[in-house]
Amino acid sequence: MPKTHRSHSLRLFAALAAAACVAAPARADETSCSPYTPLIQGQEDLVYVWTLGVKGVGDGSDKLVTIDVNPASRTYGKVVHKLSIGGRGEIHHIGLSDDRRYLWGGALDSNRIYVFDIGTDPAKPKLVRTIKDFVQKSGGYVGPHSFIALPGRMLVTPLSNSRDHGGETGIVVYNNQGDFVASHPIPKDGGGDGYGYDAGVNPAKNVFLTTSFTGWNNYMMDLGKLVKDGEAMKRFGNTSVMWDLKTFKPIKVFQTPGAPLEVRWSLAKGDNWALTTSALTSKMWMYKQDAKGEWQVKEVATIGDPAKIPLPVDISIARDGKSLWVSTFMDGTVRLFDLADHGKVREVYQKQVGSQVNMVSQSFDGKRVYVTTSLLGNWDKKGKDDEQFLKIYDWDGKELTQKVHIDFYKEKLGRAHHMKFQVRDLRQLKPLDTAADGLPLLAHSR
Amino acid sequence: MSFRGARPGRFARRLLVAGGLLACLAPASAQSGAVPGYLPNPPGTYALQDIMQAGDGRVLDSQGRTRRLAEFTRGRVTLLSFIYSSCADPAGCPYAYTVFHLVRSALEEDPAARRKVRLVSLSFDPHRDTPETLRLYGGPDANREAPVRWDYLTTRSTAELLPILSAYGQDASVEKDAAGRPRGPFAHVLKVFLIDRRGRVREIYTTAYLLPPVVVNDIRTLLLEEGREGH
Amino acid sequence: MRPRIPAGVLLGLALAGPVAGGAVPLGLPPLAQTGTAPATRAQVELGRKLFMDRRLSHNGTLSCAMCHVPEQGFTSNELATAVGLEGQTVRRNSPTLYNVAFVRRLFHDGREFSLENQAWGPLLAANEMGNPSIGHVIERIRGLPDYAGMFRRAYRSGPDVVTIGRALAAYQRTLLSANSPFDRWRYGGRREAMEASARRGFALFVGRAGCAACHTLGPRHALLSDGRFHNTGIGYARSMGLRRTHHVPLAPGVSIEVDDSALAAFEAAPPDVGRYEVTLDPADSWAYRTPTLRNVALTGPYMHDGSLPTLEAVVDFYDRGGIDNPGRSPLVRPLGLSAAEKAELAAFLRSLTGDNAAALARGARRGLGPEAAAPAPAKDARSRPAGASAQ
Repeated sequence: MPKTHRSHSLRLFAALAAAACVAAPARADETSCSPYTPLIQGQEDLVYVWTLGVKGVGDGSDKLVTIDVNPASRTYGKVVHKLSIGGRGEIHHIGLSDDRRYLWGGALDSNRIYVFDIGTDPAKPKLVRTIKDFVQKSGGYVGPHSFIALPGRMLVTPLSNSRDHGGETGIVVYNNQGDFVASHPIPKDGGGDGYGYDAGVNPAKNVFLTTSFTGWNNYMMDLGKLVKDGEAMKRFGNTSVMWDLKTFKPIKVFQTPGAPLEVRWSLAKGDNWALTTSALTSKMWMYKQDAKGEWQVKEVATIGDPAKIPLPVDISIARDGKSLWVSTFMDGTVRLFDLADHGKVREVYQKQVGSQVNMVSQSFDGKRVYVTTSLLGNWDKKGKDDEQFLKIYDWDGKELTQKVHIDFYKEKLGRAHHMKFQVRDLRQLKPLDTAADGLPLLAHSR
Repeated sequence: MSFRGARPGRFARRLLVAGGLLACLAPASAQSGAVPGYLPNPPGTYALQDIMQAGDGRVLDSQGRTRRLAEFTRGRVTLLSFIYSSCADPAGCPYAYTVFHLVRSALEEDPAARRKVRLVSLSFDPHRDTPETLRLYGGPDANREAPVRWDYLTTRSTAELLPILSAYGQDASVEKDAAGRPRGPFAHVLKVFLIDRRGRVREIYTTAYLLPPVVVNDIRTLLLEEGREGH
Repeated sequence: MRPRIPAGVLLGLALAGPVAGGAVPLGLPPLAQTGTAPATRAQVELGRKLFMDRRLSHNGTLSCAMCHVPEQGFTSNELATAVGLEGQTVRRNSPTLYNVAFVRRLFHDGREFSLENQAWGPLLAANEMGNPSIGHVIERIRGLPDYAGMFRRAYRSGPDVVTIGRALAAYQRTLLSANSPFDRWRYGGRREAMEASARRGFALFVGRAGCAACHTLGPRHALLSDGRFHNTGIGYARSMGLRRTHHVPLAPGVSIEVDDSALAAFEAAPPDVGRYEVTLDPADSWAYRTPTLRNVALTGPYMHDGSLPTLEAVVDFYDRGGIDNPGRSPLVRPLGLSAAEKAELAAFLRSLTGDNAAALARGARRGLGPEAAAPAPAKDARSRPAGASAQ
């Protein structure tokens, strides 16, 4: 394509102006990844399931389970790899690095962080690093929970502290080599309670949002015991915090009572709002800037019957920001909410998928919905209600149709918890589609 | 599309003269009613993280001499990016390249920054980017006496490049063309590294979110920090 | 080599009150009464270090202080009943350690007789610190370089089943707290030291309300406990399932009632028959040791199962006469107190807070070694100093 200097410079100018003034909106992953991580925009090949060991089930060890999820594959719907890491440390969430070549996983009790190479051979993850000194390095934080990629770094959100195992905690940054970089306390002033849980990053606004859950005492104990412990029930986070992504200083503390958990920013072009749901109060909260540019939070929906504590525990937002899957643990139900009108957010579909359900993740195109069952080792139901599985559904816009069901007890695996997708050939990944956002005219010149 | 020989630097400078970008460098306001992106934090009001030691390794300068990369990442505040002169991804190298020009333009008239800031472009493609190619690519930008110096570096081979990429945590996969010849590494996301004068990486940008005003403020923040520490 | 104790530790001990055997705060009996030998500073510091050390649990997550939190009255204000290794259920409330030097029958059911021996209970209980054996604990301590020489200096022998228990006991015996407004009023002769409503509450306490029958006082000092075992009905009600609905706070101002049936899929409450489990005497069923009331305002929630959240709730409970059951102590009976009288009783209980609780907590954290478990930074960010490696 021949070019002249003149057309070149004009396009460049427009592109730069757009980039500097408008700034690209945040882009999230298929379900929940950092906007810095390249995406699987087509069919995912593999799902990694971070699986809690259960005494008496197989080797009893915590493990990373790899499952083939490409319908075109010979081993579709089968466990293709298992990697035991030894012991039971209350492993919880996993997060992809900024280049999607590494997967970080945390353990809420042992405080270990495991780093797996998922780039060299995605179908055979390899444990390449175990960080054992998280508590000492971070300055006394306990329970590394979420892993959110930043350029060259990983933002880690712990849940507790080594002083009293309560909910006061902070946020911690590691570099991609696994070295501690910095930690910051969650604010206790300005209405803050110091509690932490998840984080969601919006680079276009230079912010990240953190939510709050509870400390080791509560997340480690039996859920039935906890509900009956009036003192313990008072120790859940009621706040969320917007932070400056450059300075790591809090911008504003929001009152979002009842343990606001997962954070998702809208993926849609031009959107700059985020959602969370509060587990105990069954509310959906939306964060937006007002006309003056100040961040505000608003309750936009109620999930199920709050009097029955359905316990909304995970959410998965559609790429266009128009709908949201919500999983409610206690009734084992996934619910679809219509977000098209922020003034009228409402449930439009629900399906019970098991006796209990925790994570819900959708493919980037929204056509496939994955669910797993384990919330926390001691919060999962006991006896026959303790179903542990991965189920994959097709979603046609009207109905969930089950395609795959892997019984994690029958397979001698353990409790199925957090999921992340991967492709076998990383060249299929598509980086953040900034050309269509921050650099529109330059992209058109291609 | 290739920037080879296109000398984008000159255009970028013209743009700055035209004032288009400078308007954007000034704090945005909400006057229009539209929500602005955000206001970059003023220099010196924040501390950049101490992320890691800047990587080292054997490189070739544009005169073809063998040098240590560390010679180019110490003593001055350094903005380093991996480039390939043949890179066609508009959101990748050309964009980063242009941002470098804008950053330099913003700093070269600033007495506080003169001879304290350096730009380094290290090629991602040793097979195509020979010292001579880079000399042409850089053109007058590579003037060693410029107030904000810009060094163009490459490596002798992919084998010498890969450890450097690894040390910086720059994702790369080596590919071969149809004839089986190495095409040089390929990356999904190109990162840009801000390094303080002691050789510590203090900020990492991806080209997806590389905003010149922010980079300039980060550089000024490092310059202020070093001033305070009495260097 | 002369033992070197960091200045901070010495200061901590100075703040933390006398070394065992020394003077006691106003209102407590002399320590000689406990029949234990005075401890040295080296012994107390060793015990403090052990007490704070999370490495002493099987998986390195729990120390004594994780359940007896120094800033939370050496109990946990955030839990009714404790949570042990890997989140396992511990069925009773962590007892406070204030003035534990004077407790003659340890644990809520009184199954141990000395702090030296008691220390091994939580260390070895599978659902508390979960160590597989005594030897495992000893070998772990032997392998920790920061303990090198400490046992020799303190006890002229290495860590063993005796010295570990002695050191932990020595530290816990320093957790003396008194000289409260009540003590200054009653034993210090200062009439204005305790406010009028609390004085009226005291009159009820020793009079019509009958509290002092179990929470005893002497003419020169008071432990506010008879050290004996009584059935108030709390344990009975729990075992017999008399309480089926639970008031569950969900967020500030938001709560619901949850019926047991809704929790059927979770763990059932563990059995607990109290003192009977030790004596096998049916007369001791659901009887629990009278706790001291010193610093009681700091040690909630209350009762052996932490089921009463506030002092007001405790006063209400006794005003109702506890919970009727065949073994209920005759000392527990309906009192017919007015609202004003109940408030006065609560005011009296709040005047029992000693003057050194904050100092005891600071002293516990005073250690400089790895066992300090690096308390969470209070205010500022923590990070590697920029360029540190280049200097």
